[in-house]
Amino acid sequence: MKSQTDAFRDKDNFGAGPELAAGLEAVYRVTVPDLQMPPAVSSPNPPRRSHRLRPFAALAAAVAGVAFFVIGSSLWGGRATEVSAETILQRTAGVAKTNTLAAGATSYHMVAETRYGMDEGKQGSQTTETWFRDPEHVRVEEHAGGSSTVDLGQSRDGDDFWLYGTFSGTNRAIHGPAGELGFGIVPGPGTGGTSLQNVLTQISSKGCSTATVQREDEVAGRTAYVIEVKPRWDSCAETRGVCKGACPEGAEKLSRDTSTLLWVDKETFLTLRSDFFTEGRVVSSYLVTQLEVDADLPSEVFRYQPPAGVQVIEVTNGADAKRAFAGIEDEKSVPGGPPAQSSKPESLPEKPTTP
Amino acid sequence: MALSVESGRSTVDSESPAADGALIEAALVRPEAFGLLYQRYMPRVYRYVSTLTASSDEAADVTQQTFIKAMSALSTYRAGRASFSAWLLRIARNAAFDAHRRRRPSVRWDTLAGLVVEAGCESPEALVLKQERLTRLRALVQDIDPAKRELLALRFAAGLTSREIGAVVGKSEGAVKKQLFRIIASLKEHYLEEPN
Repeated sequence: MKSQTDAFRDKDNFGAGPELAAGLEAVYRVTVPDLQMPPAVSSPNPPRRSHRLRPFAALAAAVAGVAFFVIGSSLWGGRATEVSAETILQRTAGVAKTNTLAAGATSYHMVAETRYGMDEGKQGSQTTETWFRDPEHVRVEEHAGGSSTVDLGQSRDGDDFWLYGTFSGTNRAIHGPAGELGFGIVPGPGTGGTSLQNVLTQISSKGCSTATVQREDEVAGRTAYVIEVKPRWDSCAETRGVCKGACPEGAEKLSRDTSTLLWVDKETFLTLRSDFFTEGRVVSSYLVTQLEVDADLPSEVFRYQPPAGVQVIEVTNGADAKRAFAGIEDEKSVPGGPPAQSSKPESLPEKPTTP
Repeated sequence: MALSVESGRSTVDSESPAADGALIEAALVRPEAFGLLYQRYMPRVYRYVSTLTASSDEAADVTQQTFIKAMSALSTYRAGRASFSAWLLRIARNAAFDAHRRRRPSVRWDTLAGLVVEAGCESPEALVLKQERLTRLRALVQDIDPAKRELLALRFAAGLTSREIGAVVGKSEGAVKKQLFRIIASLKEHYLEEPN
């Protein structure tokens, strides 16, 4: 293959002549950055999976699963409760930002830990356990720190939907049709990715960031692409929309100084780990500690049965659910309201076990 | 084979289909050998996708995606069908078009890095004149319709022969040659005119 210079000297210069040829060469002469080579694949042709992938179904699952906590937070209305709705909102927003359910896996069981507030001296952590079989059979449970108590759980079995946990000191469970309550869409990084390119594209186009594969690494026994994500303030007007108007002083600088590292499973495109940096320091992190892909999850896993002592609230639509939670909020604020019960119920929701 | 980068231009020595073939064979067995192909072709791919993307960041993204795809699909490359450079540039082209569809409605030519004018022994006045002429040429190229502009980019940014260009865009070598002759003839006519 001839070099660029030789091409111009070739008789095939299409009659450009030396002056125009040199001019065109100069026009196309751009400074090439020192781009790091993407990590080498272990095999140029990864073996095909034996089962069919269902990208759209899994995308819906990604939407459903990641949005679980947003649904919970929206129903709360954001007011403080003994359970601390603000804390729940913070936790769920944090999980929603860092967790990703992939479009590539058909079923899985995952345990992940999120740490937050690392830059504020008020560190906290939560453990999230997810069982996913298909978009209509998903269960996600969140525990604070090392507690075994389910702070917030959501379970979908077909159109049967349960939202449960400890609310205002009482173990409650809201029950209603999944179709009516619905699921929001949380634009988490790599949500619904079906390929590395797809994941990179989603990361890059949402929030206007650049996403660059840095290397490969291993998390929870699985190989992952490590992707660096940086916001693009210089050319991305949408990023400024994050501030919804005039950005507070320092917000742009803060954003310029932020970045995220994502570890994305090479096979399923699940996010296995993420570290969020501000001014070079990790301020929150997410890490999958257990992952079983193609897990055999029996139907019982998704059939939540409220234990004895759990207050069940039946609703038929989202508005009813919000009203129900508003009532929970009011209980706390009304003098002489019901006493707060022990945060540890007599019987915890049975954690499903996978065979 | 040495890779040198100076004044924004990369030259690669020892380019030949046979050398590419050897590297491809090696890379199929040892993926890390793909690094040599990467070194050889990354600048060309980057220069080419720069003409199709909206920013240098996007060009870098598309370049990386191109090589990731190429690595994954390396075993499907058939030397008899097209040269490796044409095969690779075709992947780059598709990746750039995908990026374009996802992002902006039109390609911004003016996001290309600023013209790199090599300073030789010319006087300052000569350099200014040179810069002005290149600016005018750039404007002329920008006025060409996108399909024709792409042929120029494949030729002068990616350094492909007319046959290879045909393999990328899906045209015959003869058709590509004919079009390039016409494009350049038109450019020459306007470029050599004295500006008003």
